[in-house]
Amino acid sequence: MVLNLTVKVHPVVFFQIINAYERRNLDRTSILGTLLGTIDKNCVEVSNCFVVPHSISPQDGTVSIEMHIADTMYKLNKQVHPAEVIVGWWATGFEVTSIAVPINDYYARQCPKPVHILVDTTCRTGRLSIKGFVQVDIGVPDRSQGAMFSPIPVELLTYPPEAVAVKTLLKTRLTPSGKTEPRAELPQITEACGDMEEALNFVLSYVEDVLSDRIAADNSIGRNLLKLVQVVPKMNTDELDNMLNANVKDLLMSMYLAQLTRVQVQLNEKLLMSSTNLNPNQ
Amino acid sequence: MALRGRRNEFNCPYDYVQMDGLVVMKIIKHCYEERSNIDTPRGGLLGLVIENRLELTNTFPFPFTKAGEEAVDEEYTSAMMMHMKKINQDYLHVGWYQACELGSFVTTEFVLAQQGYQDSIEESVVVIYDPQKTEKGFLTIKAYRLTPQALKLLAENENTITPELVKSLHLSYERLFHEVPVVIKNSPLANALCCTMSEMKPAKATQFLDLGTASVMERHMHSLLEKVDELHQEAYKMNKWQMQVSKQQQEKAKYIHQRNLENATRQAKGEPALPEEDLAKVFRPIAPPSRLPPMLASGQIEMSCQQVNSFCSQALAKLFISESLQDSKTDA
Repeated sequence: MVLNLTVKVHPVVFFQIINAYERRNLDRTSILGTLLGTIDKNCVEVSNCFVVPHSISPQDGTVSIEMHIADTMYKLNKQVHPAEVIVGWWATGFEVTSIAVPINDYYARQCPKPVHILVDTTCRTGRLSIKGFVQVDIGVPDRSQGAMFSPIPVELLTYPPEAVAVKTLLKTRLTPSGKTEPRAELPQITEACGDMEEALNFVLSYVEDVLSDRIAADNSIGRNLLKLVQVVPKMNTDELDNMLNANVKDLLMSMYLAQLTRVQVQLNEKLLMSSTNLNPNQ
Repeated sequence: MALRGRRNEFNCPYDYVQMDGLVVMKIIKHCYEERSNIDTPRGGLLGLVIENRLELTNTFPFPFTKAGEEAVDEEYTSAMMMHMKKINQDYLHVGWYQACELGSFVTTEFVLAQQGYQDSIEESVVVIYDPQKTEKGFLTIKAYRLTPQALKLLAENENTITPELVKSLHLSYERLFHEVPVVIKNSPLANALCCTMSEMKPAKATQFLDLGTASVMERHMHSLLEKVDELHQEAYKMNKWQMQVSKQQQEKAKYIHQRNLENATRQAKGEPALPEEDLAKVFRPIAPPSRLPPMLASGQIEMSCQQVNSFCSQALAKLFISESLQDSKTDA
């Protein structure tokens, strides 16, 4: 019934979860919170989340959630993003634990079919795994019944500007300090040029290997390569030269004009400021 | 902590702004979702000054305001900050962010808002995010502060910003703002998340190798033209004022001269001199036009020109790449 459900999550949600985990109370080992987003048939898009403090009683293991905080936060969020509704909840930890059932019951009262996202901040498997679940009822009718958390696929969904930002943010894992700077435009082009060269060399070496029978040919790769070749617009050298020259001229012209404007503005300012008699009244 | 308390020439308590990856993502999400609104999306920045840097660790969006309402809902802001405090986030308001296309943010409204912030919270910073350039593939996030001279200028009544005042402060449009370098930092755990995300194959962002530059260029030029027009009008106002004043000056000289002549004749006849008149009442000094709009227009033009330059240089680079690609194709 719900098995064809997919969760699409924006990267900002994961960043918020990680941040909330890093800022948890010292005595907590795991935290949880609400997922906000939109539901479209079999696809749940999660675009926002917030943390909800909870506590587990040491005597009988019952969970209490600070619901009034969840309510205020939901209302505050509603003012900015009116389209976002509660779609489920998230938690950090290695696996789904027994406390998940009462929490899921609470969220089931807020939305029809809450999805659950589990982020493994302990990195026990050596990586930070992200899993999605929905609760499915199991058991015999009128007899013993139980609940099972059935895994569902989680996909990453990005807005176009988000994709650009993620690309920049991914760079921080390669620097020892974990820092990166937003680059100017020209260095980015240089970088992309290098990337493109690398990719071309990779494809070329693959094609060479296939041609010399070192690797077995893969039909799907071949078809993709053909598609790629067909995408390249047919243009003879003259046409391309004309196009390039026209563009280069346009750009140089705009640069010249911009520079001219700058000089004019500077001149205007300098003349005004250096004129000794600004106000003839005095 | 030798660095603490050290101030640079801009009286800025820190050297650079360090943003968490979370802050960047939250700003982008908010601005992208609000892109269809006419109102510019804005939000608050939360963080702390540590040693020589300002750490921005969280943000919250301001709700969309209808025309005529108070721009920032105090109740909302304080509720949000209380909540942030409860969940162990930094809860010090250290500035605000705004989405702005093609760097056209230098407006009276903007500088006054930032002045308000820097007046009440000294370390306030404003972060400008450019959604259009980011969508084209270049993440553009910049942090600015008003210089002390600009603050002094803005503390005056808007109508009394005379050219002399500007001159006495040694302020030029280039020195209204100073840009604070921005560094993005991710915690180790966030880096682990980045590794996982790169495995989840997010959409590749390669739009920036797009060769179609004409439309963006056109928009750049358009906004530049608009501002040049504005500056021209301001310059016209200034000229008109100067002409008016010099005309009045001539009239005044003529008037004094006539009075002197008349007094001389009266004296010769033995009559008493004309009663003293207040010259300032006869010739009311004409108020000079406010210097603020032309300064801001100049600042905006400077900003736009820089943007055009950087845009052109990258577009040229792209064209040369495609040219050499074509060359190697014909060689092969």
